[in-house]
Amino acid sequence: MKQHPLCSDCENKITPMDLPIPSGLKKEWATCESRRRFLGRTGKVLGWAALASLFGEASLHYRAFASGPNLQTGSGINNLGLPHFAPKAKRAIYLFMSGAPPQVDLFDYKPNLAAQFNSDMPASVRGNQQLTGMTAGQARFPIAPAHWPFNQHGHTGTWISDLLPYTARMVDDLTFIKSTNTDAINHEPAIMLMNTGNMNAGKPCLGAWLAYGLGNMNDNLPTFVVLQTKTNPKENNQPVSSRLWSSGFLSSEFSGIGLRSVGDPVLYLQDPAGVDRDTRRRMLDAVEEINRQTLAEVGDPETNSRIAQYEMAFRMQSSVPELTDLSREPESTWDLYGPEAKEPGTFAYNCLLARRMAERGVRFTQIYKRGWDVHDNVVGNLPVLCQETDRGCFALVTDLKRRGLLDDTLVIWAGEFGRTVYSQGGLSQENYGRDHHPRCFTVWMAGAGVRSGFSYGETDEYSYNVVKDPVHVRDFNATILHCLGIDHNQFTYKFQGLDQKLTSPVPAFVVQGILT
Amino acid sequence: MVMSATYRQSSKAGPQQLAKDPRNQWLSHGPRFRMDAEMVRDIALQSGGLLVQEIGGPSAKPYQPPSIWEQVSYPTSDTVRYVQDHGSSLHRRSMYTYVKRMALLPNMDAFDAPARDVVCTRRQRTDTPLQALVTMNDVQWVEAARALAERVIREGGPGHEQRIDRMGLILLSRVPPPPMAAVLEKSLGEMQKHYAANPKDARALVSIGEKRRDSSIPEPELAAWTMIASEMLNLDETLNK
Repeated sequence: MKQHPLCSDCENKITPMDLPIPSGLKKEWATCESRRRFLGRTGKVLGWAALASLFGEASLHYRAFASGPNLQTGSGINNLGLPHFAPKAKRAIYLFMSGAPPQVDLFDYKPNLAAQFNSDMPASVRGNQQLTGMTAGQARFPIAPAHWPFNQHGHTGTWISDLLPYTARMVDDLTFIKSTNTDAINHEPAIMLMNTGNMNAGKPCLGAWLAYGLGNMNDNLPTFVVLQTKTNPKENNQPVSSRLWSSGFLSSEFSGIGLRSVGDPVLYLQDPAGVDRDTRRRMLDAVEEINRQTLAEVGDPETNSRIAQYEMAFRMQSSVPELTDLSREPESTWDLYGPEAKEPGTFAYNCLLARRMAERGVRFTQIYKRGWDVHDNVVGNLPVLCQETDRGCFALVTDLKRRGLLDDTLVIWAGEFGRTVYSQGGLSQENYGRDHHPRCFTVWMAGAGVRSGFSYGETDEYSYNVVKDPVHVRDFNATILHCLGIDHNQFTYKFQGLDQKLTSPVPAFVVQGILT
Repeated sequence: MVMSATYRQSSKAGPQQLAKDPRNQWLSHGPRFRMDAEMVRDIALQSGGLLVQEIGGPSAKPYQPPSIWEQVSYPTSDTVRYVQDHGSSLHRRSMYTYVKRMALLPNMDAFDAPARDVVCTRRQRTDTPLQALVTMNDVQWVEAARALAERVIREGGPGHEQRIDRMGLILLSRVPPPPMAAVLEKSLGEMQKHYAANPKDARALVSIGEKRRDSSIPEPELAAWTMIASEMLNLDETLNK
C-alpha cells in the first residue's frame, strides 16, 4: 500500500524509461544502470530514490487510508478481507511484564526443588544453553527453590504462589501456557520478538498489525493505545521504547498512541491557556472554510482528509478527557481495583482505563509494567512487583467478566522470557537472584477464544526445558491473531520483496489446545 | 530541469487530470505533498522571525512535554531526564534538535520524522489528528503564531487588510484571494470581540512561550491576531508544498 512506487520491490513497477522526461536523462540513466548492476540491488534502489526525489512526490502518490478500515460497516469484512473467519475476540488487552517475571517463583510449581536447595544444577539439564554474560562466569549454578509457598486454588486446583493472592482467585478464568519459549536471551531482542515477531527493529508490532487489519470501532479514540505504568525507582527498570509500539513498514497511523498519566493524556491534547472551547471551535470553522476553498481550487483529495483529521482532533479533545474522567465510577469500582487505581500511572489505574477503553471500542490496549528484571534480591523485589500488579490483573478480568466484555475481549499477560532456576550471584537461605532464561516461561490468557481454568505445556522438574507442548513466541502470536479472527499465514504485507507477517517467515502454529 | 515547464507547473489538478492521472504518474500537474516534520516546524518559526539562522553547533533541546524521556529510559542512562534549553536554542532549525532514538521529540514524531533506528529510504506522509493537535496546541506553534502576529502588526501597516495580505505573503507566497481574506476578516472580528471581553484569556494566550512578547501591542489585539496567525499556520495550503 505505502511502498515507494519507484522502489524495485513495488508491484507497480515504473521505470525512468516510462516517465515523460527528456530522452537525454533517460540515456544517462541507462548508462548508470549498467554500472549499477555491478553495485547490486542496494545501489539500484538508492539510485531510484535519488531520481524520485528530483521529481518530488507527485508521481509517487500513494494514499493511505484516511483512517483504518472500519469493521463496523457493511458486511463486517473490510477491504483487506479481514477478519478471515468469525472472530471470538473483537479486542485485546495485553499486560506486558517487561523485564521477565520469574516463572518458577510464581506459576511453574516445582515442589521437588526445595530438597535440592543449593545443590548444583545437573549439567545434563543445562545442556548447551547459552548463558548471559552475567552468569556465564559463575563457578556454580546452585538451585534456588521458590522462596514462597504455593497453594492450590479454584475448582481446577491450580498451583499459584502465595505472592499472587488475587490472581489465585481467578485461576478458573485463566489459561496458563507454561511452555512458552523464545530465541532471545537479552531484553531488547526478546521484547522485540514478542511484540513484532522479529528481534531486529523495523517490523510492525502486534497492535499495529491489528489496527491495520481490523481498523477502529470508535471514531473518537485511537485504535491502538499504549499505557505505561509509573516506574518504581527501586526496581530494575529495563528501558522500553517506541519501537515496541511502532508500525514498522506499515503506515505510521497504525502505531500505538500513548495515553499518558503525566500532563495531557494524549500529547498536545489541551488547548493553550486563553483558548476556550468556543474559541477553538470558531478557529476550526475558519480553517475548515478556507481548506474547502483550497479543495475546490486545487482538487487534492488529501485536503479532504486533513479537514476530517482536524475534526477528529477536536472530537478527541472531548472524548479523551471523558475517557480519563473517573469521577463517575461507582464505589464498587474502587472496591474491586483498590484505592491505588485513583492514582494516575499506577498499574491498577491503567487496568481501569483499559476496561474503559474496551467499553468504548478501542481495538488493542497494551499496558507496560517495567521492573521484573530480578537479577538479585528476588526476595526483596518480587513481593513488591506482585503487590503492584496482582490486584489490577484480577480487577480487570473480573470487571470485564461482570460487564459481559470478557466474552469478546482477550486479555494477555506475558513478559519477554523466563528466569533461571539457579541463582545468579550468591544464594543464601534469605535471598537469591535469577538470570534471563529463554527456554521456558509462563504466560496467561483469559477471555474470548481461549479455555478457562486450563494449563498448557509442561517443563522439566527444574523449570528449565520444555518437556511437553512447546509454544514458541511465533505460535503464541499466531494464536492471538487467531482469537481475533485472523489467519496469520494469510495476513501479509509485501515489503522488501517478502510477504511479511507478524509470525515471520518461519512456520508458526496456532496453539489449538487452548482454544475454545 | 528546475526551469522546465513540467517542474514549474501548478499543483492544481482539474477533474480531467485527476481522472486520467490520479497518481500524477504522467506529471500532469505539479507535486503537492504535506511537508516533512522539520519543514513544518521551521516554517512556523521562520514566519514569525524566530528561526535562528546560525549554522552548526551543539544540538538543541527545544520545548518538549514532560516525562517523554523519563517514561522509557534506563534509570542510569545519561539521557534519562530531558533538560530543556532556553533562549535561542528554542528556535534553532529542526535539524539541530537533539535526537534520542528511544523517544523522539513527539512533535516531530507526529509528522513521521524517522526514529533513526532503522534505515529510512522514504518518509511516510500520514495525515493524523495528532498532527492537528501539535500545530494547534504545542507551545512551539502557539509562540510562533504570536510572533507571526507581532510581525504582521509591525510590518503590515495599520489596516486589517494589509496585515492579512502580509501574512499570506509570508506563509503562502501570495496575497490571500478575496474569499480566503473574507473568512480571515470575519474570524478576526470574532476574536477581537472575544478577547476584548476576556482580557485574562488574552493575557494568558500571549504569554505562552519563553520569547518575550511585544508589550507595545495591546494584549487583546495581539491575542486576536495570534489566533488568526494560528489559523493560517494550520491551513492545508501552509502545511503542503
